[in-house]
Amino acid sequence: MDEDVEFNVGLVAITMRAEDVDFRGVSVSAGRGAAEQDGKLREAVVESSDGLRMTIGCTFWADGSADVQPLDFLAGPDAYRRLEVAGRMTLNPAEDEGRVALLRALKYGDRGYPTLASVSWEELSDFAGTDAVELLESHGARTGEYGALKADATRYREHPAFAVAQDGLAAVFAAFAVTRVLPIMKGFGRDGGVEALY
Amino acid sequence: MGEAFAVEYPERNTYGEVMKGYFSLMRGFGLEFASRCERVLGPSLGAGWFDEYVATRNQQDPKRIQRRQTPSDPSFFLKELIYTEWSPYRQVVPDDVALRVVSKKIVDTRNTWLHFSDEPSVVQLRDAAALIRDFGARTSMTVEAPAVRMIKRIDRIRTGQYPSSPQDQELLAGKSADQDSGEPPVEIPLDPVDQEPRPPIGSLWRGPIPERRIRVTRTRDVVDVDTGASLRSAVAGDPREKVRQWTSARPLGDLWVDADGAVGGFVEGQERLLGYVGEDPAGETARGFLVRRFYDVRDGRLVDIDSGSALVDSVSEEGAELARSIESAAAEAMEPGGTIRITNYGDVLYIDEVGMSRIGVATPRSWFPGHLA
Repeated sequence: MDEDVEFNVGLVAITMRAEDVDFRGVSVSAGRGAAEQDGKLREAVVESSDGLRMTIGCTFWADGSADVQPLDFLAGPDAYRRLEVAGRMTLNPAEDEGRVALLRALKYGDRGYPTLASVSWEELSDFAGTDAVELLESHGARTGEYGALKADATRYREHPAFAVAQDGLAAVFAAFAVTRVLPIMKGFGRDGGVEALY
Repeated sequence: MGEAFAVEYPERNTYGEVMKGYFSLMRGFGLEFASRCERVLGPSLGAGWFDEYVATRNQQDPKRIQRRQTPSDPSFFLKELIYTEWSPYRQVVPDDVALRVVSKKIVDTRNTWLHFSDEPSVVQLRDAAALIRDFGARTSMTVEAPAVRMIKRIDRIRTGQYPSSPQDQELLAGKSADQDSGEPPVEIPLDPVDQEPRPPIGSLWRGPIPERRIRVTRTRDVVDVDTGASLRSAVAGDPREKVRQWTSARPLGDLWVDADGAVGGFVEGQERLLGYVGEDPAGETARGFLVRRFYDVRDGRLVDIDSGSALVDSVSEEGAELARSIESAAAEAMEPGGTIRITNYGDVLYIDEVGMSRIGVATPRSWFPGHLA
């Protein structure tokens, strides 16, 4: 059996399992409360330097939809518990059998907790601590505006997005770390903020 | 002018490389600005306009404006742009408040990091480059491009993507060249220190992370995670203010506390010294983290440069007396080109080319609302 795949995105470590497992659950596109269905799920363990440890799964469902969802919150600061209920990522079908997803990020708002919001490539690079385009492309993704990667998109056409082949799951998990985990680590969108002197 | 200036980028995160990158970028910025001034002002004001301008300014303010100035020195032209209303520099670039705020921040950032960190790092260089990029974007100067490239290079250094190949790394480390070259050694040996003292509050945590965990509760108490016992009685001074100081940099997760009372936690994923259960060590002038706000003194009033509001108009009666005393200390210390900053501990700092000093200690009630949250 193949080995797990391990890589880092900034201060987040991702361990991707080598193989899919059978999974039964509710797809994101079917909506909360919809009927369960079968799917093939690839699991990854996401860990951050400040103590987060959780598992997430990328599932290709029987109805043809695909998404990334949290599975188990194992340990970590309370701020990351938001990931249990927010930040699921839908992977939309693209023309060439691959999948396309928007790169929206968890951002703190007036309500005191983060919700998905549109961001720029520059902000994504800030989260990643490196050039976000290079990062995603190094994991085999194509990057660009959503409208360019998904011609029939009606909303968010000019927003950052990435596309992967069906087996491009490392890029999917890297995108999850950049847009979900690192913005919480950095308090993205919170008022004020400080800079280190030392 | 027809010549080109090549900005040099840092090869790695060392003092020399950071300084090389900073001075090189600032020189490129200064040369381009001076060249644009010649192009814009030369035809109307005549070839000797710069010398005449400096002479006039020297007459007006002989103490601060020396006769010898260089047209490409950012610390001269930025200050003139910010403070001298009739300055011809305001015809060269857009005459708007936003650009002057960016200019002030460039001066402030330079003052701040050149004096502060005993080890200025690429992170501070990145802040400076981001401001130069912003200035360049607002004025259509080509220095925007090298500033963007500087930021990218720094991001690659920080994430270990640069230098990329092992041969490059060896070459940079000087291993291959110095073997038998007869050159003197390039490193200065430093004696190890037995019991290393704690670094200033706000620094990266030194040494292993201790076992004992403490948590700030919903009532802003702080308790031992294992026993549930409150630390309030052990805390020196006002416990609420201590808790605010430890947590205003927004550490995620539980904090830890060492045998000597040092408190630490994770800020943006990095281990940091956040403070002490007991008294803070004497002699620290800038405790904690810099608040991302910029201030200035205008007509003797201490103002927040983004909102323009004055400190004494912003505080309640309870904080007014302290606010007034900090304002007069700031007004007394302030020189053109000086910088006022505050840390999350409330240490109000005055920084200029000569050095850095603490001019007062503010409390949340005696400072701009929300800035010391």
